[in-house]
Amino acid sequence: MPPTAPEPHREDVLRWYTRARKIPRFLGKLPNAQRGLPFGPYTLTQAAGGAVTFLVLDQTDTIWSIWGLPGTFAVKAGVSIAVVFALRLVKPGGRDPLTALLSAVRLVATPRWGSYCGRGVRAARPVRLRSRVGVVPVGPVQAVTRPSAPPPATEAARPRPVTAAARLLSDSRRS
Amino acid sequence: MVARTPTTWLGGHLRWTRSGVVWATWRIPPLPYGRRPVKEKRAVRSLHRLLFRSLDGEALLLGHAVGLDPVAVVERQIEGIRLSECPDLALEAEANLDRLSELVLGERAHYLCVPLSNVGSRRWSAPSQAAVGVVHDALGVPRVRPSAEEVAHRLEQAAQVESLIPFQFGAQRVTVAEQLWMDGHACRRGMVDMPPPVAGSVEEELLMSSSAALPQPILDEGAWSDLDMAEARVRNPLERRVLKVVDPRGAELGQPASYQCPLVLTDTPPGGVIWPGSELFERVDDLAQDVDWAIRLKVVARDDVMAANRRALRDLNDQFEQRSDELTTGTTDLDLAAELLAEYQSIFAEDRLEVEVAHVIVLTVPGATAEDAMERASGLSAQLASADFTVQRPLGALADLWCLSQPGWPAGQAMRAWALHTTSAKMSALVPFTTTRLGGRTGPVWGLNESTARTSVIHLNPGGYPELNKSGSVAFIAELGAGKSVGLKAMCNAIVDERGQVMAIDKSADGEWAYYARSLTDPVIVDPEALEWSMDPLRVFPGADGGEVALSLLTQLFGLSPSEDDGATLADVLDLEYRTRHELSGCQDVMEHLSSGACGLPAAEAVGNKMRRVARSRLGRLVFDQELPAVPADADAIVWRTHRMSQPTEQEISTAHLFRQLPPEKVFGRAYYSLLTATARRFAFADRTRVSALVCDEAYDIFSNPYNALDLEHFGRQGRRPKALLLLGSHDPDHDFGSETLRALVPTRVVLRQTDPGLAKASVRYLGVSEDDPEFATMVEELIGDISPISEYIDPESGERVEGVPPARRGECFLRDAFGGIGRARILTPARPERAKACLTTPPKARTSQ
Repeated sequence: MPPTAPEPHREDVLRWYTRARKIPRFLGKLPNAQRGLPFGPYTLTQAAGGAVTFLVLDQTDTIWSIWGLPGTFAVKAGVSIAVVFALRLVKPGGRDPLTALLSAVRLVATPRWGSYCGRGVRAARPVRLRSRVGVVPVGPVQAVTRPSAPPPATEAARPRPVTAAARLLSDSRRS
Repeated sequence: MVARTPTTWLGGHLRWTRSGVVWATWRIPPLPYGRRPVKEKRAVRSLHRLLFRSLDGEALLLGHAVGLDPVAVVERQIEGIRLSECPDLALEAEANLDRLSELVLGERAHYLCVPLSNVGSRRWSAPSQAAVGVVHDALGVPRVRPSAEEVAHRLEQAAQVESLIPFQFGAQRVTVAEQLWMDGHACRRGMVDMPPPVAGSVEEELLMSSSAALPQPILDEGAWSDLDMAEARVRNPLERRVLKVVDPRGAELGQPASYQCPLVLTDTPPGGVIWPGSELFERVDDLAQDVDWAIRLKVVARDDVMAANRRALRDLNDQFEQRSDELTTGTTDLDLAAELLAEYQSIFAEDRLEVEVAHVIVLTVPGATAEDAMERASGLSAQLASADFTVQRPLGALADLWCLSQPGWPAGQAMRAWALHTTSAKMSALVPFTTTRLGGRTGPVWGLNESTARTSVIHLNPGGYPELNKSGSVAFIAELGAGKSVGLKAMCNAIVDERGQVMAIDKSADGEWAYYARSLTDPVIVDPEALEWSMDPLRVFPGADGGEVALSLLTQLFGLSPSEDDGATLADVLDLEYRTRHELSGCQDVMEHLSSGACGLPAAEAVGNKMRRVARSRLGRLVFDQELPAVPADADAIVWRTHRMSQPTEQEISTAHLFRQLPPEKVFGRAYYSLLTATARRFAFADRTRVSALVCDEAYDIFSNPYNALDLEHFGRQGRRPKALLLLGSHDPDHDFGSETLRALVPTRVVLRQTDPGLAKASVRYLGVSEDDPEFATMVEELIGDISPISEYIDPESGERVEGVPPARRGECFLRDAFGGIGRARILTPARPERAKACLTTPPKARTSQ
C-alpha cells in the first residue's frame, strides 16, 4: 500500500491525525526558567517516576537510613536519578505507562490455568463430603380424603443413627 | 479488566448487558468492490462516509472470517431445483462435494453493532437496573427480564439507528441465534466453524435448543496452561503473547482450545495512504489466513473536535517551548504534529458536516496452536510493517482486545490507549464493508474467486438471470488455446444438467462441439457430411412460421425478389393455405410441385429447376431431402456443423459486382447461416420456461456477415423474456461481436489469457475498466503475464517435464459478472471426471483448448 500515483487529490489520501493529538510530552524547562533542564528534556514518565521515587524515599528514610543526613540525601538523589534514567528506556506504545505497567503486573500475576468469569481457574483440591442423614418414618401412603389417627410409634420406626460415631455410641450403650 | 461476559438478555437483534447498555446488531451484506471502476468504488466509499456520519457515538464494525462449508456451497448450487427431475445435476452436486472438500474456501460475515444511548431517565435507571441484576446474580436470585415497555423502547431506538444506515447497505437485523453464533465464533477462531445460522434453518434450531447457549470462555493470556509446571514457573510473558480461549462447554464435547493473537493497530503511515489502494481489510486476506477484524469507533462531533484541536495546539506550543533547546537539531515529530494539526483543523473549518472518527482497529490472527498463532501474527506484523503500519500485541492486554472486538463489552481503557483519529471522509477510504464476491448467491458452481487469497466459490447462473430482469448472455474472450471453449462447455454442462437446451454452431474442422455434445446427452448433430437430420424449415416449423423461414431461405439462396414473378410465386406456394391444399409437407414436395408443372403460377418451373440444382448437392440435401427426420425443437443439445460453409464478407455483400459473382458455396453459406440463426431463435423463444443457450464459439465467423449480426442482436435484445442466452466466444472484443449494441448487451464477460498487448487492452476495456482507471495497467499486465502463464511444469500423469499451463493455473481469468462485479477467477470444469474430460478433450488434430 505505498503511495503510487504522483499527485492524488487531498480527499484521496487516507491520513491519520493521531500524531497531532497524541503529542509526546516532554519536560524541558521549569516554569519561568530561561535555560532548559540539564540532560533534558525528560518524558513525563521520567519526571513522575523520579519525583515519586524521591518522595517515597523521603517519607520512609527513618526506616532505611543509616548513613546520616548527607549520606541519606545522596542515596535519595542517586536512586531517583537512576530511576529517571532507567525510565528513559520505557517506550510504551499508545498506552500510558501506568496502564502498561499494571497490565504487565496483571499478566505476571495471572492465574496458572487462565481466568473464568474474571476469576482464576484453579484445580480444586479434593473435597470430602460429610453427611448426617436421618430417616423419617412415614408408613404406608394413605389417601388424603379423611384424616386418620397417626400410626403408633414403634421401636423399628425410631430414627436410627447412621454415622459411624453414632453407631459407636449406640453400640457402647447396648453393651 | 476482563470480568464476566457482559450479556444478560438477548432479544432479536438486541443485547442487554451488565453495564446497562443495550446493543443492536445488524448483518451488513458487503458492497461489491473488487476491481470495479474507480467511479463505482467512489460511490461505495461515499456510502461508507455516509454510514460513519450517521453513527452517533460508539459503534463496532466486524468482519468475521468464516470457513465455507462444501455442503453449504452445494446447497446453494441446487437451491430451488427439484433434483428428482434433474438426475444429472444431483450427480454433479455430489461430485462437487468431494472436490470442494479438498479446497480451503472462505467468506466473510460483516456486522455493525451499535450501543443504544440511554437518554432521559434511562441515563440513571438503566445502569441501576443492570446493577440490581448483578446483585441478583451474586445472590442467586432469578433475574428480572426487561419489561415489555423497555423492549419496545429499545426496538424503537434501534429502528431509528437503522433508518440512518444508508439503505444501499441493506442492513439485516440479526437473530438471537446469530448473536449466539457471534459470541461462539470468538471462542472458535482457528477451527472449522459453521457459517452464521440462517433464520429458519436447522443450525438455528440447534443453536437455540442448546441449554447453555452463551459461551463462558476461560481466557488464558500466554497459554500458560499448556506448559508443564516447570516451564510455566519461569515465565517470559514477552515470548508468549497469545490468548488461549477455551469454551468449557465445547471442551466437554472434544472441541480444542482456540489460540488467537489480537493485534491492535498503533501507528499508521505518517504520509498517509492513497485511495484506491488503501483497502486495508481487503489486503489482510492476502497477508494471512482467517483474520478477523474489528473496528471499535467513536464518532466525535465537529465542535468537540475543534475544541480538542485547540487544546492540542496549546500543548504543541508548550512542547515547542519545552524543547526549544533541541530545535537547532530539528524536532521532526513536533513539526509533523504541527503540520497534521493544521491540516486537520482546516478540514473541519472547511466542512461543517465533517465528524471525527476515533477508532481502534483490532486484527485477530488465529492458529492451530499457540506457536502457530504467534508465528502467523508475527508474519502479519512484518507484512504490515513493510507498508508502514505498526501493529502490536500489547503485553497483558490481549484479553482486553479480545473483548473489545465483541459487542457488549465496554470500550473503556483500550479506546483511550489505542484510538487513532481521522475524519469520516478519510476513514471511508478503508471501505470495510466491501467484498470481492462475484456472481450470484445461488446457481451452478462456475469457478473460484481468486480476487484475494481467500478463495470463494462463484455461482454463475446465466439461466436464472432472466428472472432477475437481466440478460443471461455471456462472452468469453481469449487468445487461441487459452481455454475459452472449456469455459463455454463447462457453462453448457450446467445448463443441460438443469434440463436446459444447448444449441451450438460448430465451425471447427474437427467438430469439437459435436464431440462434446455426444458426451453430454443424446444430441442432434446436423452435419452436411454425415446427414442424419434435415433442416427443412417447412418440416421443422409446421405451420405459417415454416413458410416464412423457408421463403427467406429460398429467396436468399436463389437471389429472388418478392416484387418479381418468381419471388411472388414462391411466396404464394409457401403460404400455409396453399401448402395444405396441395399437401406439400416439405421443401422437397414444394420443389417437385413447382418443377412438375402442376403449379400453374408464373415462373413456377424455373424456380423449381433452381431448387433441383441445389438439392442435388450435398449441402442442398440438408434442406431438400425429405427422407431425413426434421430437427426436433425440444432436443437437449443441437449442434450445427458449419466447417464446410463459407460466408460472403461484408465487402462482397455491399459491392454489387462482387455480390453477383459469389461462388455457390458462399451463397448457400449465407442463406444457411440465416436459417440457423432464425431456427435457433425460434427454438429458444418457443418455450418460455426452458433455458436455451445458443453457443457461437467462433463468433467472429458468424458476425462477419452483417445479416447474422442483426439476427443475433435481435436474439440478444429479445432473449431475456424467453430465457434465451447467447454464449459467445472470440478473440477480439472490439471487432468480433457484431454491433456495438450487442457488445454492450452481453452483461457477463470473461477474459482469459491475452498475451497481445493490444487485445489485452481491448479486453480490459470491455470488462468495464477504462484506461484512466488506476487498475487498468495492472489488469493488462496480469492478463499478459499472469493469467494462466505458460511455463515448464512436471506433468502429473507422465511425470515428465513439459511446457504449457500447469494444471493448477488453467482456466484463470477476469470475470465481470452480470451485476458489475469485476475480479479474478478460475473456471472450474465439471466436477464429474467424465464430464470434465469431455470439456477438456478435443478430437485429434488441432487442440483449440487446453
